Amino acid sequence: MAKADPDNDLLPGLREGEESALAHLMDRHLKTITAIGYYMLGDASLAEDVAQTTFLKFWQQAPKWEPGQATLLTWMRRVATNDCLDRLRKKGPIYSDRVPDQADETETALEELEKNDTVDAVRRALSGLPDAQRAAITLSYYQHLSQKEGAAILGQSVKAYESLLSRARKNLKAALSPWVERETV
Amino acid sequence: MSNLNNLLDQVKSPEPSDLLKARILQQAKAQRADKTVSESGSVRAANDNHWKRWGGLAVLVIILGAVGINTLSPVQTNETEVWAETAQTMGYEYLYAWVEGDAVESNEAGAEIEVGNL
Repeated sequence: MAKADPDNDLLPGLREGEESALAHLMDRHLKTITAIGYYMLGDASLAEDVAQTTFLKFWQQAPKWEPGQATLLTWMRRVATNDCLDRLRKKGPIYSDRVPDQADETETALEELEKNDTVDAVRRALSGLPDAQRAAITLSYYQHLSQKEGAAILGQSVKAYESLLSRARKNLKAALSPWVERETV
Repeated sequence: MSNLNNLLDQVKSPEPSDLLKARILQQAKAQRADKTVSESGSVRAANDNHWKRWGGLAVLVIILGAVGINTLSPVQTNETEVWAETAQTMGYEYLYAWVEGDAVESNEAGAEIEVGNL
């Protein structure tokens, strides 16, 4: 039996075009959807554009939305992922070199520098992945989805998705080998 | 947890900006307003009817149909050509006289006149 959509309570309001229902939906999922854009595109501003497109798309679809097939969040994850893949296809990788501020007062300057260096390396490794592999890492690792859910979002079989994920991890390990080895030692 | 997972953990997605939610709500409101305007714009006036819109076109179709039928009609009679042919055969003076009535009399007297397809 299909699991009930936890967002079903908002559907009547969304169908009626109540902005308060949309505001509640954003309180629940805006961060999750923006994160897909961020890990896929590597840019906070573009990630917000993806989130805006996704929520407005649902807002348009809401009057016709039929609960039961996919949950609302799964649908939005699919829309956001496809939007990111489209943007990557059109413009190529757009990871910026800017390192986000992650200041922690307990760290020394050297530790912070090392940490930023590592973060930057991981961001570059992610940007070096083929688009589909990056999507698989985003969904499975950063969104904590099962392989079945990730496969459904990318429109692939579970077996193909597993293979995609395995190649992505292999590529990331290769790109981050100095850091992986340093942690092992 | 593997080393790779530890490394991936270090990249954190930033929080969405405070303005994003307001921006989306504003856009949603604008979309809804646009939809309402376009729906009200498509409502037909109570006194409007299909004949007003399509009447002119219907008349044009009827005229074109009539012209087409006339053009494609298999019987094509050109009266002028028939008269000219008859005049050539009978001679213009005789034909004139026949039309005016003299020839009718002689016809009654037994003369047989062929006037073609008149």
